[in-house]
Amino acid sequence: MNRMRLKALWGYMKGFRWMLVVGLVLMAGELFLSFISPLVLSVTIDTVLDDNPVNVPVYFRWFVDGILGGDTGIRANVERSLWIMAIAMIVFRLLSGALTFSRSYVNSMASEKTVERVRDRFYAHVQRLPFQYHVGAQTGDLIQRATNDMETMRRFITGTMLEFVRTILLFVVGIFVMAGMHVPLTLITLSLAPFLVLVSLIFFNRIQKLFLVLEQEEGQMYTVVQENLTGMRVVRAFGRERFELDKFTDTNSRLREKTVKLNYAFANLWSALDLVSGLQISLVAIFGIIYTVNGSLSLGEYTAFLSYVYTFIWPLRGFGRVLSDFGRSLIAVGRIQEVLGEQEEDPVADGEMPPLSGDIDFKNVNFSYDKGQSVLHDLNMHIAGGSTVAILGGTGSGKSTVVQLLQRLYDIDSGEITIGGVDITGISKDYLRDHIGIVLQEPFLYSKTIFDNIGIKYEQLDSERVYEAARVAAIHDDIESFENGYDTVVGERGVTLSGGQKQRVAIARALIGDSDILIFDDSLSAVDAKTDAQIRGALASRRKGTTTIIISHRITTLMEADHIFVMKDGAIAEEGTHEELLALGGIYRRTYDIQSLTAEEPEIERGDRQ
Amino acid sequence: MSSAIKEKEYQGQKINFGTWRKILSYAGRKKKYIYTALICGALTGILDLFTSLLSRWAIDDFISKSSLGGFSWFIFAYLAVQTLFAVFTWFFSRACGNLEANMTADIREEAFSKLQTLSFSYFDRTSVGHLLARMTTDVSRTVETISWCFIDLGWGVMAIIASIVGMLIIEWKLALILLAALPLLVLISIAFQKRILRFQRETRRLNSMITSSFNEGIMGARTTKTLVREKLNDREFFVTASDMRSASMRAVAISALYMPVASMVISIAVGAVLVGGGYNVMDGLLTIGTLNFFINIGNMMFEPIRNFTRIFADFQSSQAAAERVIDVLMEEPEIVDGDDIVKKYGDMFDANRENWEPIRGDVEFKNVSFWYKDGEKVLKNFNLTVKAGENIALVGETGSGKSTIVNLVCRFYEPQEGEILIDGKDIRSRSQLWLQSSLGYVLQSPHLFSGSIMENIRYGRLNATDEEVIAAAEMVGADAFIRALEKGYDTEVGEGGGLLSTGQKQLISFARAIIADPKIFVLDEATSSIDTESEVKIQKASEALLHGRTSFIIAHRLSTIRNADRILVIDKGEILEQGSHTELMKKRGYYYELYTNQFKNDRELESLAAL
Repeated sequence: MNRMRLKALWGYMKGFRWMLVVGLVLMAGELFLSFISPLVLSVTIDTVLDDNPVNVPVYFRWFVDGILGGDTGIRANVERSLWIMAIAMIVFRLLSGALTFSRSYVNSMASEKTVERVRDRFYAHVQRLPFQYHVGAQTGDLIQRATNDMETMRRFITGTMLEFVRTILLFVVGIFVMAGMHVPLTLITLSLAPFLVLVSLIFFNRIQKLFLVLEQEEGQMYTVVQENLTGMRVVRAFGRERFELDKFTDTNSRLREKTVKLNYAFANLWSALDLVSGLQISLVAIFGIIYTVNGSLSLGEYTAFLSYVYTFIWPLRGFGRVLSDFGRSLIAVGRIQEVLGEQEEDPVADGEMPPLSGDIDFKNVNFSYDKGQSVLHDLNMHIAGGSTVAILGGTGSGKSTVVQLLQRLYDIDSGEITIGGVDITGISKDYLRDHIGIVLQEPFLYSKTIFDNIGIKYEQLDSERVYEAARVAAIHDDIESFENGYDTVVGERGVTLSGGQKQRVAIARALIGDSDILIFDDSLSAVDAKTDAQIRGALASRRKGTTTIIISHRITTLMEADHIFVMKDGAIAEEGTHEELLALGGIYRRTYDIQSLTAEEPEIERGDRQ
Repeated sequence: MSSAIKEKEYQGQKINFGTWRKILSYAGRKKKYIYTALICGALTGILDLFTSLLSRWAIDDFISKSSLGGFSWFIFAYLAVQTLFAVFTWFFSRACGNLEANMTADIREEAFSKLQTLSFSYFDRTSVGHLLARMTTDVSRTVETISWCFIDLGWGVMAIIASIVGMLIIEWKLALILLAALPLLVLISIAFQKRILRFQRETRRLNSMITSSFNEGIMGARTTKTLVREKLNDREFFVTASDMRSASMRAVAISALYMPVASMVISIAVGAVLVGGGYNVMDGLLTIGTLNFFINIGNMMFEPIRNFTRIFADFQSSQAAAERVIDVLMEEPEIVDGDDIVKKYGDMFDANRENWEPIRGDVEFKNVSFWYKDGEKVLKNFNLTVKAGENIALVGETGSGKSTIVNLVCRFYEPQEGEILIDGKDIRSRSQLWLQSSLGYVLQSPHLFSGSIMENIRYGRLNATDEEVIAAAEMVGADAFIRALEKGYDTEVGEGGGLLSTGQKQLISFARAIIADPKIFVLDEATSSIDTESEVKIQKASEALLHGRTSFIIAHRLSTIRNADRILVIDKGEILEQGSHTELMKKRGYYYELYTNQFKNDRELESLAAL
């Protein structure tokens, strides 16, 4: 499982892997320098300031021999040597700084490029997942994966993974350098390392659990606040301020308690780590002194070891976190993988591109979501090209499904849907959707300006076309009344449009495409009857040969259509013109009666109709 | 009404100490934690100096003399210092952790209760999302910054003072060499921090753009599909993602440069100490232990400075969050009950119910004028008298002022001119809670709280028994569908009632309103999104419910309001016509137009379509 995830990650890095390798080489150099830099001071103390012979590992010998001229060179001119050592110290620092800088730059480049690639791929992929996927998907969870998990992955590549490698390298390089100086003290320097890792690992796993609990509590607090704020009118209308405050205080104090607990756990962790580290430092200091006094270690080497112990301790203190992050990061990678592994929908890229202005036919269409309950059975429907048809039906009768099938947002189980005689399964999906304008029941507007929202299908657009579409959708005047007019930004950071305004912007957006087929899926429910009629009037005047399908609960909206379908339980129950359906005396008639109240008030209604 | 809801922008470049002082005032009760953190920090700074002094002792007294005389004292001291580090860490972590948790909880509680008292006008112009962010991330960010700064502050100040004093006492000449580097380090740190902060801001900005792009890409995926906009979306996203990468790289580069540059300065200073001190050692004026001590101090000197600049940057970058938090805490409600009213009736949270007069339900508007903030007048000199128990329906176009009228009855807003009387007394002469406890209120989009159906209905009257809840559900005709659910009344409704259909939510909110046994009932477009056949059922139920209560009904569908005692046709904030349905139909005025307009004969519509 984890191997697969790591492999996936490795796959994302294709093309940037060399940067990682370069980064590793630089890192090794950096570590090596961090171990030999203290030797400069060590030699200064032992040989320049004192009279001991030079005692350094082979790889540092060249420096002493080449630049200082060995023991004799140092003795010959002590003052010159002192200057050289001070400059060497600065040069080493400069060198290690350059290595550190280029290492972090190269590594970040590798990880940022990888993350950018995964982000791009994720975004493009999600958009191409089937409609069905998005209907069932938990958007919150998906967004979480795209943002939080992505961030965890980024941190894994820049932080956790490198830290892991770095710690291992540290041990290799460190043991090599130190053992060349003094083996027993090397062992002492590393003696508590396992404990340090163990302590931090144990605590981190405990803390992780506390974190989970805390997150849940936090989620609850969040919910209480959110519900309170969205339901503020209800709270106020029932005078429930006290009740709400009590509810909040309850969850808030639980959260407080859990936070304190977590922070206490951290206090324990940090002080435990401090204690073990302190002990480790003390051991090196104490034994170092004993060895030096014994003569098996020089004073210079003693100071070098003291700085080595710090070099070791810092990464080791955090190594427990690195280990426990490792698992979590891989889970995040797995969650991203899961989405990327979903099958994208087939775009029928090389499909046909026939004219779509012809007759639309549904022949014995059967359809069910996810092989579950059947939604449409043996549905037959004939819509004449260029005509206006209307669909009425109760909730769940399948009317929205019918129009969505037309755009091939779902695939049918059996039967056939043809436009102008061409089976839609053979038509390129982009072409099909591009030429069928649909206004969904709950339209989504992008957080762009209103102008961009209406012209969303195009990169460049003549503003007159946008205004014209807005006028037909009876939203132009509303937009003009906004402070920033068409430049008003929609959404959280901008203006909140009312339900009716949103629907009308969505209508304008659909109109601008000059589609062959236009579909309104209950898209006029939030506007009043007068505006509804106005929009339909304007529409009628501009459509030439556009097939229009309107779904609505409102009889006044339906009755002007050339042909009306009444759906019930996934099939056509009644069809015909307004008059025909009234005469039929079925569902349509009943709905008409209730809405017009003819049944209850015949006198006035009749009087009115004269 | 579409109000422009804009998030306030804060251009916080400078640290505003006033804001932080206000935040800090919430730590008032937790002073002991602050002192603990400061003291522990300071002591840790002194311990750092001790560690260096111990090394000097080791070199000069044991190693140089090659003797271990008194070494057990050294061992003891060394272990003690190292143990004390751990002890102080434990104390300050607990103190800061406690401070953080308690301050966060206290501020949140205060903000929450403040929000309960704020007026509707505040919620009209502030979005839920932003308030939510203030209550959660803004608070935690602010408190985190302030509560952990004390330890760094205590440590940083003391570490600098201790090492300076220590060095000056031991060898002032060498001390001066190191101290010469100090101002340079400070300057470098400030210069870098400024840039680092700027680049970090940029990456955060881009990061939130990416988050909202994902948000939009996912939420709008279905719409994108129907519009075939995938490729354009991709292109826009790819640009943002690549901007993000470049910005991150810039931030990485500048941060990665900071340490090497600063440590160069240090190593030059240390190199100078090595040369200068080295001559002295050779001349026998200085011990090697002391030289080593100065080199140690020099290498550590940078840490406190880096720390200070980091704290400074933290405060700078949480400035905006702190200001937003303070904003909520300082916001004053527009509708306030006077002191004497609170004294008699109690406040929003604690009522003195024994002093409450029973409410009858007479409502009167006397020359009322009202306008929303920065808006046109919605009501002008409006007059209306409603007798207790009367059923009033309000009809009119969107924006005519219907909802405003009922909102004023509920005292969600207060009129700028004129007065509203309930039972003959000014609405402002009693507490808000007095009135609002007697309201029944059903909205177009009914809001339910997560919890069971039982709990949701009981929200109307907290001490209602299960039987009473069921009786209320039966009254509104909700009992049947509730019982049909697998868990019946114990069914969880989900967040915001999301697991139920709109119709079901509407019925439950009806039951919730009725169980409160309100004297004044308000139905604001309560049935608009329900299909025609279900609506008839609800209507039948509500007729019985409204009997004997003053009620205000707003509806688009005229069939809903025909049975009202009195129908008011509202246009531009004025009553155009009023009377019963039959009266108004006979009058053949605006109402008649409106009513018959819905069913103009077919031919007329066809000719309209043919235009």
